[in-house]
Amino acid sequence: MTAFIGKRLISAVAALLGALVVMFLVVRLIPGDPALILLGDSYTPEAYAATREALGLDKPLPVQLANYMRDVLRGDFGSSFRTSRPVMPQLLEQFPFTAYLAVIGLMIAVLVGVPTGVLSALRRNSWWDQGAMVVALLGVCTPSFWLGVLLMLLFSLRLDWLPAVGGGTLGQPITVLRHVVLPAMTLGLASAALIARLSRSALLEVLGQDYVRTARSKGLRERAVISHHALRNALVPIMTVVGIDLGRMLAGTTVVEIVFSRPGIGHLLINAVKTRDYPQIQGAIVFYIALIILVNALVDVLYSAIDPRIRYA
Amino acid sequence: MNTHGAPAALRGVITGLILALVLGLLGPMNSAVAQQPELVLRMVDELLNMDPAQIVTAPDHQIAYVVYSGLVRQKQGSLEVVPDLATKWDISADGLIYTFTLRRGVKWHKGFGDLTAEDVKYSFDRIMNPATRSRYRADFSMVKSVETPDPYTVRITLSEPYPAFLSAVLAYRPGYIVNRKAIDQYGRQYMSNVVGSGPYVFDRYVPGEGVYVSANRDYYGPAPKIQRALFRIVKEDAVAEIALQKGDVQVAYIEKAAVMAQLVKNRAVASRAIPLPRIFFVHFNMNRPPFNDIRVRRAMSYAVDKKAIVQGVFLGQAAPSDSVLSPGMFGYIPDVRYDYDEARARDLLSEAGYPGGIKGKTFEFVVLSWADWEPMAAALQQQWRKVGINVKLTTMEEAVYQERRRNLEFDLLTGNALRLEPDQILASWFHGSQIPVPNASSYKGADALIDAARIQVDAKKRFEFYAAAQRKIQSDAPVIPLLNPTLMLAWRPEVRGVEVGFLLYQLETMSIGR
Repeated sequence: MTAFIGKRLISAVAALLGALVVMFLVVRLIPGDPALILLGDSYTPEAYAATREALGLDKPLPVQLANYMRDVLRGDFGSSFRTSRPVMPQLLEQFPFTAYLAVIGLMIAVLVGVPTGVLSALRRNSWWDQGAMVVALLGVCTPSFWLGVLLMLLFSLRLDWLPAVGGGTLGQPITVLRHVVLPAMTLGLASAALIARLSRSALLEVLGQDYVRTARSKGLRERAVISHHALRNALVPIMTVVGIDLGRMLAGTTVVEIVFSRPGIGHLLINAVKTRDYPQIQGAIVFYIALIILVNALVDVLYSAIDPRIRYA
Repeated sequence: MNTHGAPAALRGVITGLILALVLGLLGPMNSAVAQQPELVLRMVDELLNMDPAQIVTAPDHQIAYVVYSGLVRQKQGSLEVVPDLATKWDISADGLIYTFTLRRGVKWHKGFGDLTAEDVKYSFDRIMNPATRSRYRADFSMVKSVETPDPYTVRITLSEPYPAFLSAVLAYRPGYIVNRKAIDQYGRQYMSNVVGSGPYVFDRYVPGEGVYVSANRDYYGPAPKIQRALFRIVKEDAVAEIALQKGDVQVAYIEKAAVMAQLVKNRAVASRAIPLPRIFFVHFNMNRPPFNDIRVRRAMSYAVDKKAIVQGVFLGQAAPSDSVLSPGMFGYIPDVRYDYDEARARDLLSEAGYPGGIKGKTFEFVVLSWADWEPMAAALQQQWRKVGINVKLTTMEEAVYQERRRNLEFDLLTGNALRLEPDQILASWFHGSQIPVPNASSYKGADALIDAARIQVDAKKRFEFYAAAQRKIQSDAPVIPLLNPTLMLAWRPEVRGVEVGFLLYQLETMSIGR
């Protein structure tokens, strides 16, 4: 296991560094000049030159890249062009908001998706199955900004149960939870739909296997057959999708955070792209990549918990 | 490893997630728990910068306005300059020496001591120092020296008279006074530790959420009634509309006319459209044919039905514009105008050698994706097509738009100016020294008149120069002035004293009542 984790760590660091170089070049390929954003609608040529110099954009690209990589290896991800503050503390400050959103979104996705899929598989071709799968299809197709506004109209404006915008104050769990429910539902329901469809097909496939027939013929109760034999094996593909989906969900937080005017890394990233704040974009992307690598590693470890045949040596 | 079956594994995962979440929620509880704001105002975007030497955007300016003070300030809703930190001032007869007497006992926020003439000198010297890289350095180009004969007197000497100095420089963005100790002490962290002397103290900025401010108990002016306020970032108009009805936001600017029209119908919300000294226009790229031909520019000006755009796109929340200056501005005189006249437009095109329109060519109209500008540009496209001029719309976000503008890569370009002083408009958008930005038309025809107006101390003569400059610009048509938009504002009925300056909430006059 230690060797496995070590190997994973080395490849993770290599992936991160590779991604950094690619991101560094890609953000500079997008048209748009960060200095012009900082200068606004009226400025002198001297001010323009001074701003580019201050941002380090006057140097040749290879020099900029070399300087950046040198700083990164020292643990310095640079400072935001916009606020002049170091990039990483800003990301860490915003991370709790995104983390609550993604984790609660994922919980909604799993708690709604898996049972729905399991019930659909067990009552195959019933009205429940047909209905749930149509709703799931709609869920997969619904754009999150639209769903977000609909939820806001219903739960905030019409029913007056939950706040429409904001992220709450960190340290006040109740307000934080109240603020996270609608965005997490927006994020989670789309994933729930995907997980439901997948759980259904994974369970159906397992239910047709010989060992399930054997279990039944041993006289095991249907409940035990489903929970001990069928569902456990069906969980492996579901876990994979949940792992991949958390990555997708982190990306989805960008839209949801804007719609609900919530702080968070997604919001920070969108804003950084808009203002061509290169260090902030690079920092946020690296942060996302690190999270996704971490989640995937966790999923790998969970595989062995679910399926004893999977062992890492 | 696990003998309890699959649901147990799932239970394990879920328990882990819940645990992580609870720990996460409890973790930050150690940090100071902030009190709830009494009033929440909408801010349309993030802060860009809080250093008065660098502030650019409307959100920057809004927060700076409540946090900082200047020697003088613009009286809200008018173009008049009134005392702020300076209780009075004298201007020498030749217009070169400005002597300000400062208010005594003005305290800096957060225990940074008394505000004195030294702070004023430091603030202005700092902008003039090339090392600061201030975008406002050019605004101080006529300042020869800033002296402090005593702690409560500031003497500013100009190298040439500049009658707009008070309103265009000191009452404008670069005129805010900063605290030297705070700037030195916080350095790159200044954005999180802003120190001013205005009615509100800058508490904190949470990116993605907004800016928290609290009333300055030592404020020298009328005591602010709202004790704590949040300027909440709500980027989308549709979301602002919901938040306003829900009460999550109590005062909001609205950017899109259609959303405003909805709110006007809503009786639960108060709303007002306030005229602004702002102008939306279209730049011609005069370096590119056929826009180097005055007849083509005039033809395209006559082809625009501004009233139709005001009604159709802006739903009446704007006024057609007939000059490059806004109504109410000193020097405004709409003598030379282009009222909608298709026949005239066709004649001018024929005269220029394009009978029946400019055939076989499509011009690029670069449009900033903002508020109602896309439908506005689409309406213009249709109106020009009627006289035989085809344009294609290239809509872009700001970063790319600014680059296109700077490199003069366009045939036609949307433009926007919001300034209070005629000099700020004419000497920037229409002076040859300001090509390519903001003078994106590359126009140089009125330089002499603008220069003459700028240094004219006699108000009557200055008015004449501005009028002449305006006539010349209007007749040369480097831009098509389209309309003067209004500031569309909506608020919850419990908010009292909603006064508005030019694009700025007057937080200090607001209160909550029933």
